[in-house]
Amino acid sequence: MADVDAIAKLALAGIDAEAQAKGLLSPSSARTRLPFTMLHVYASDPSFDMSDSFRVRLAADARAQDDLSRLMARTAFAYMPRQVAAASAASTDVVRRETTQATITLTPSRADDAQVYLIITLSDAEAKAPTRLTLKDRTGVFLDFDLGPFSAGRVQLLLRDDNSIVTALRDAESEVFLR
Amino acid sequence: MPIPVYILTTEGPVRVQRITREDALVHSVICLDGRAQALPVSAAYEGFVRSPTGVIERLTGHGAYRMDVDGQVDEGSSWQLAAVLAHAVEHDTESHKTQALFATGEVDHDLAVRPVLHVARKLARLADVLPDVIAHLKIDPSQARILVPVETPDLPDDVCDVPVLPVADIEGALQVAGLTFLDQAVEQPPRSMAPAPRRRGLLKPGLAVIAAAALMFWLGIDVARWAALSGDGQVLALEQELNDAEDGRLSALQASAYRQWLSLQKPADDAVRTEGALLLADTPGDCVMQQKPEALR
Amino acid sequence: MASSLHNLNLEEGKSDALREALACLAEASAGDGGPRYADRVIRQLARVVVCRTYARPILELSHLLVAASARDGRYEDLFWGVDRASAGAFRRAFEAVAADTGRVRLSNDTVRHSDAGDAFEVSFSRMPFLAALLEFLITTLGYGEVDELTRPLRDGVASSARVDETARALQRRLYAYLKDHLPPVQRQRRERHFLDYVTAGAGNRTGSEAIDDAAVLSYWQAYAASDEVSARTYRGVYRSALKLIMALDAAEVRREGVYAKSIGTDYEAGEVDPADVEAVVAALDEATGPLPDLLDASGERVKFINAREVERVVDLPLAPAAALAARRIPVSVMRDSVFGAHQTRLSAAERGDGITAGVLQSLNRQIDGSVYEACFEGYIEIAETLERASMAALAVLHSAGRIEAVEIALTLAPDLDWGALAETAHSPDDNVVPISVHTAAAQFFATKPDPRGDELPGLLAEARRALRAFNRAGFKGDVDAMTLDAMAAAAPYALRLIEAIRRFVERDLRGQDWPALAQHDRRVFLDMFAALYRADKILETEASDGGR
Repeated sequence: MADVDAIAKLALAGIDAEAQAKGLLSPSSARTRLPFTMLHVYASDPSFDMSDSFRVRLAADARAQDDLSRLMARTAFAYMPRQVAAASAASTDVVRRETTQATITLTPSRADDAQVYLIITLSDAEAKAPTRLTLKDRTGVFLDFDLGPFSAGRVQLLLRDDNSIVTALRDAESEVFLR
Repeated sequence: MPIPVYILTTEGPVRVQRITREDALVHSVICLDGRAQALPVSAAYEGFVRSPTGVIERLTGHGAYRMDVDGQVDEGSSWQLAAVLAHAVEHDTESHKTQALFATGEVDHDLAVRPVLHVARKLARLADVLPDVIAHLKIDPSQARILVPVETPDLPDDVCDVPVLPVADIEGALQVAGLTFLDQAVEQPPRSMAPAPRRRGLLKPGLAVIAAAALMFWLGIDVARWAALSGDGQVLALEQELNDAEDGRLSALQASAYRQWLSLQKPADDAVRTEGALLLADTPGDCVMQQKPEALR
Repeated sequence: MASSLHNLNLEEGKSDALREALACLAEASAGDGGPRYADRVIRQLARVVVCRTYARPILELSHLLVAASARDGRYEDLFWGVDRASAGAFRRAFEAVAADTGRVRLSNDTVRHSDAGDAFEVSFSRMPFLAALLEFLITTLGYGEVDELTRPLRDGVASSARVDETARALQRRLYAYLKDHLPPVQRQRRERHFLDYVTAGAGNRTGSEAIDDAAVLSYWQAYAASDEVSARTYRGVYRSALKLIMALDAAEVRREGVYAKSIGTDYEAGEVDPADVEAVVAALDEATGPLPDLLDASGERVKFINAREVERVVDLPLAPAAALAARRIPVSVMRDSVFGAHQTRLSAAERGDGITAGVLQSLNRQIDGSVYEACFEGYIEIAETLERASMAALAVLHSAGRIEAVEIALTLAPDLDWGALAETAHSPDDNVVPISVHTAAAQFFATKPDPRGDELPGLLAEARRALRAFNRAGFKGDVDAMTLDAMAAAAPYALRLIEAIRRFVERDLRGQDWPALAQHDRRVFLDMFAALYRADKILETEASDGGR
């Protein structure tokens, strides 16, 4: 027969712990973070569009932004991290980002200086082409842009110069994902 | 654009607003009204511009353009003649002998203007708006030109007093448009194209050709008919007509002059390569049946 | 003062982060919008976190990560490629991995990786919890950190030593996180007070033996109106009593083998073995029973039980551990079901518009000498409805060829001659008829319903009739694949719920003079309510108003 006192103490410790666990599981008034599950769905499915609430919560959750960025870097067709300062200093006119998988350039239109050509060229023209360009800007906001069909490993889009994607691409602090 | 150039479409004429040289990195685009919106036809335009497949780079030495238009241009190829004219207008900033150009037609790699569909409908839609266009541009209709492929049937002489001119090739088109350019094309014909020497003659006429053209103007209507037979490839009919003409005094002169003209057009000896199989017919009748299609038409 | 308030806010903020992390997991949804992790898994995770018994699970997880990374290193795709974290889904995922690489081996119930010499197995049924643990680690520590910490499991051969070291690194990081974020334990005052009370009056009875129906009622009577402890509602006291019985029983089981070991008294100071504490919490958690599982599995697609029926049985101690504990205080269970429920309504009315004539009239009307027996009849009716639902499910699942139909048939008709389905080919001198599972299953599904037949054909015909007569969601018209899945998943829980209700009513509640108890309790509880809610005055007012 075990010691009665020890049993009672263990039982009460268990009851305390159960209450504590229940307390942790009680609805929190604090904001709820984005589940990693949702981040993974977004990262692994380029056709998945963020809902407004997803976007708002992500914008307010620096940890989730970092997690998503890292996850997408692993799952994306091509990942172009932040550029070094020297690269950004030179990038006033033509912007160029390059990885072994793809090259992205921004070329200003001579017809209209408020417009710019976004050109993506794949190193392997036979590769399954990405369908979406995603940028994480310096504030942690994720921007999605649907790419048209690639032709011979190349796609070109004409965009307004003030398009958020263009602004983000010009910023060396932005991370770029082709997926 | 120094001279307004319009692409004829079944939805009405579409004005080429401007053509801009872009960075060579860029693929050529056709954009709607200056906006950052490339039309679906842009891919075809890129193919039409960029050498070796395209012709504009050959003609201008540059391979990336942006063309802005004020309306939708469907995919297809009938915009090509107007596009070449628009490029010519941009390049030729001096010899503007016309006041506006309207065109439809496909341009092939040899700079021949090929027939396109729905020309009558395009002209009808043009007629709907042409008075307003003329008024807006404040031009003399007789100083404008409507250019269509030469093989287009049932062409009117004019639309709202603007002459309708069939053209067989870019050289002719530029002539009637009063434009000069494309020297580069003349210098760099693609060697692989068999009929090119003939084009060379057309594209860079010598004095003899000019004199022959003037003579033909004097010779009158028969020559026009013979030219049509020649253009259609109806060689036997043409030969018959020339033989008949040689029976009369004046007409013999005409026929002789026309034979001279044809000799000027004769391709160089090394320019024609005939490929095909030798077919032996059992009877003359079989032979007619075999030959009747495309070759003699 | 300001400083302590500041500290309190800081503590709240810290624990908020942990609560958020768990809420985050609970919110994680599967493709169909349902939860990715079952409630049970989330509770298990919270238990492990609170008791800090994560060392072993993290070691298991580390081995599982090796297996999950075996194909291409992208363990995320395996863990989150599984839509709903279930044993079956993980089995399918690992079958695909095993087909692609020789580094992973499967047995019937487990997965192993050859890097550690196949020494460590993880069962598929454990994987939903381990997946939740991984997501918890990522949510709290960050994906980047977890990814870096677990890199040795993906780079090169993950020997046992390497896996152990990686697990220890993860454990250290989680320890540091919890040190900052786990709120201090709040000692549960009422349970301690109640235990002291019953122990003092128990004579030579000790532990859970000291807790009986009389003690529960007398404690409530003594302290319901007291400021000394929060014991105003009978339900609260009853639940404390039931929880104490379960906790004491579980603690006694845990302590049986370690009696000689000297332990301290302070759990916070680490003097109580966390594994023992977790075992006790796990025993308390098992009190949830088959009803939540049934509702989880069936969702909105299949209505084995409706909302009104749920309300009637939701507070019954139907889970095995709770039912065992409830046998010590069966009258208290019924007192809670009847009077505890009434008091809940009184309390709600008091907080709301005040106690109205309607509430009190209802209370007076419903409480008579047959109140307990009426309750039992209600429970049995619910069990019968569940039986009809299960019969209907048998018809659906049998015609769909779902193997779950076999369990339903075996449970609903245990007396059938199941040997008839057995393979008959056996040696003449063999007295045992070996039942080939495959043959039996094939024969089971080949059997046609026959209302004139006996044994299985008759049962199936009865199931068909039940289906035609059962008009609830999921049982009407054509059944789609998702409904079929939900029905198959929920049916075993429905069977367990039937069994639990019948056992509770027909066995645990036997041996009491319920009419006499009803008369006695009516007086006791109405007196207590009158005192607690000043209901006597309201009743008098109502009576005089009615007389005018």
